[in-house]
Amino acid sequence: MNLLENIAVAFNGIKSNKMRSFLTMLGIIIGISAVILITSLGTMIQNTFTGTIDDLGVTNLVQVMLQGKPNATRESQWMTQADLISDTMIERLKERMGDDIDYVWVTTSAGRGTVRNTAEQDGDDYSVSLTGQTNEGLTAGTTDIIAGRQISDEDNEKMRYVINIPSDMAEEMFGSARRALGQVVTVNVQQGGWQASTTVLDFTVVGVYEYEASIMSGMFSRTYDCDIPITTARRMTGQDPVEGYYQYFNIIGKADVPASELSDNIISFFNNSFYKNNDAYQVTTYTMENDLAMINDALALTGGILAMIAGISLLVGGIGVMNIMLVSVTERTREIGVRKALGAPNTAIRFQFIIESVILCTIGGVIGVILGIIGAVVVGEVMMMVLADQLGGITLRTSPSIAAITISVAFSMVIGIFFGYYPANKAAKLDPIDALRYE
Amino acid sequence: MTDKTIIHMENIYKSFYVGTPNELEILHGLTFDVPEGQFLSVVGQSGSGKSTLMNLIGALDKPTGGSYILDGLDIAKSKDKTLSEIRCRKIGFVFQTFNLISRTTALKNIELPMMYAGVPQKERTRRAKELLEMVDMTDRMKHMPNELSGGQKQRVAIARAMVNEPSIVLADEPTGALDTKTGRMVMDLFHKLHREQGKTIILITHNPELAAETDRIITLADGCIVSDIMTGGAA
Repeated sequence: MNLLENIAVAFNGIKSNKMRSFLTMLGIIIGISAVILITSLGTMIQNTFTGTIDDLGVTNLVQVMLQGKPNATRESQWMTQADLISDTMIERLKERMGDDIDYVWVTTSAGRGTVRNTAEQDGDDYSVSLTGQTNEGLTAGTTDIIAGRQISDEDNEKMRYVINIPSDMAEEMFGSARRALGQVVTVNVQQGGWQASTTVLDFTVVGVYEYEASIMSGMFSRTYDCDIPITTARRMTGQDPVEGYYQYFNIIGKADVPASELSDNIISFFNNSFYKNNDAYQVTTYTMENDLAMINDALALTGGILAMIAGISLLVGGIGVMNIMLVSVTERTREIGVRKALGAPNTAIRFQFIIESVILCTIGGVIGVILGIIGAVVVGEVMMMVLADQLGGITLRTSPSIAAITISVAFSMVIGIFFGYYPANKAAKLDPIDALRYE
Repeated sequence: MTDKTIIHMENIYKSFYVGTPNELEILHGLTFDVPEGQFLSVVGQSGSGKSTLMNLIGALDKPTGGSYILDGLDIAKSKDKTLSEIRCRKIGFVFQTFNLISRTTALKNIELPMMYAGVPQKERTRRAKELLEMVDMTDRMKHMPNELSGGQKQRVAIARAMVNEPSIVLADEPTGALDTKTGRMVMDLFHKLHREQGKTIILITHNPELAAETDRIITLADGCIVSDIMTGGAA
């Protein structure tokens, strides 16, 4: 008696009792679809978080910044240029730890202001934030140039007045990214601080980068982030264009170097050399590793609790299957007797009923997986619709994992075996005479 | 008929509720032999022990005492697994109520015992068709049991009983649920099997007319054999 025949017999049994089979499966269907829904939504949320963080390129990013020393001896806490981290120091860091570092990303803010199309008489003002960048830093970042080019080393050497703008700004101002290239824009920058002043300068658009909405971007009115050469930014703000000084900068470590290890080395490098004798400041770092771990822990906990609830519904479903299998065994007592009289060994009877229960549960499991995926997609869509403003165009990727699907179907098979065994064994142990006589 | 003894029963006892105050002895030491190829009928009133004897002969149950040798196998000492093997290969059951498996076709019903005997699918279908032809039911092989008349059902059941070439065919009131005409047809089929294939057939009945058609009549009363007569051949 082979497996296929048993499966065929089981299908026959299920088909001849469609309504009852469906109701029996319902528990499994609900349980499995709940598991799939929960895990899909869980991974969706997790992907959205980690995806956002990945987009910022922060998984191996170390933020290096100045921090007041706890036992500062200086009376005035005013930060002077001597306290800041200089390009020279960073060069020394690179010499020492170059093997662990992919990129150094330094920026100098040129302030906030407005930009308008120079060619247009009554053009709109676009609120912008200007950041001086190096080519290395921009390479380290995750923005994609969709037209033109990135700010280059040459731009920096020659202190050019060139600017990269985001794609949505380019479209609004010039109609398309391509049309923005080579256009001149008038930048009006307000320098803050104790002597507020306004600088008006013309910049040429050399590149347009793809604007990606983040989970936060919808919450505030849009300020366009524009990149200019870092040397230009320094000159605009009255700093030494050649040697930069920073309160903070970023390091992107090599992928195989743990961010925590890298950040420890960076701290000890700075604080044992340049900041050893500083009487007010020292260097500290910040990585996203801990935040990421915390988010993941929280998600795992929520997921675990929900999975437990789903597990309970699977248990209830399994008991339902066992109950109906017991009814089925009782109903078919006579058939069992006949089969035994015709020479069916106990093992064949047991096998037949276990297979039936496994098939029942597996069909339920497959239907549950399908419903769960549909449910997850629908919930994802609804969430995107409801939260459209908050998400600002970000897409939630619903991705039911192959692992979750495989485990769910396999688990429903196991439920079938587990809850089918008792009724099947009961059938197998029936006395053939009693079974034949059963009315 | 050959000289070979197919059933040897010696001093068979059967009790129920053994070891309880309700212990009930149904068969009180039966002894008889059945030679191969005999058409034997067992008759008796209800409560005489006919069914109990049939269950013992059919290896559905084991005697409480005595020895039962079926085709050289000691049934009393066999394990459950061996008993199902014996039922599968040595015995063909025909029931009063046909007992076809309701959700499967006539053909599949006939194939069933071969499935338990581990016969390959192709061979099963071939043999099942052969037997359907023997009982003249070829045109109904795809029919479900509920689409068949009583006589047709019983013919399918007989084909099913024959499919594994059993040593004995055990028929328990095979015409009991049929009208006279179809009952006659079924009896003719048994005679044909007996005559043409030399099958050992044991017919359990309380109809003396049917019993009279067989080679030998064993009469049971209150768990004892009260008469064992040779009729001198089929009618």
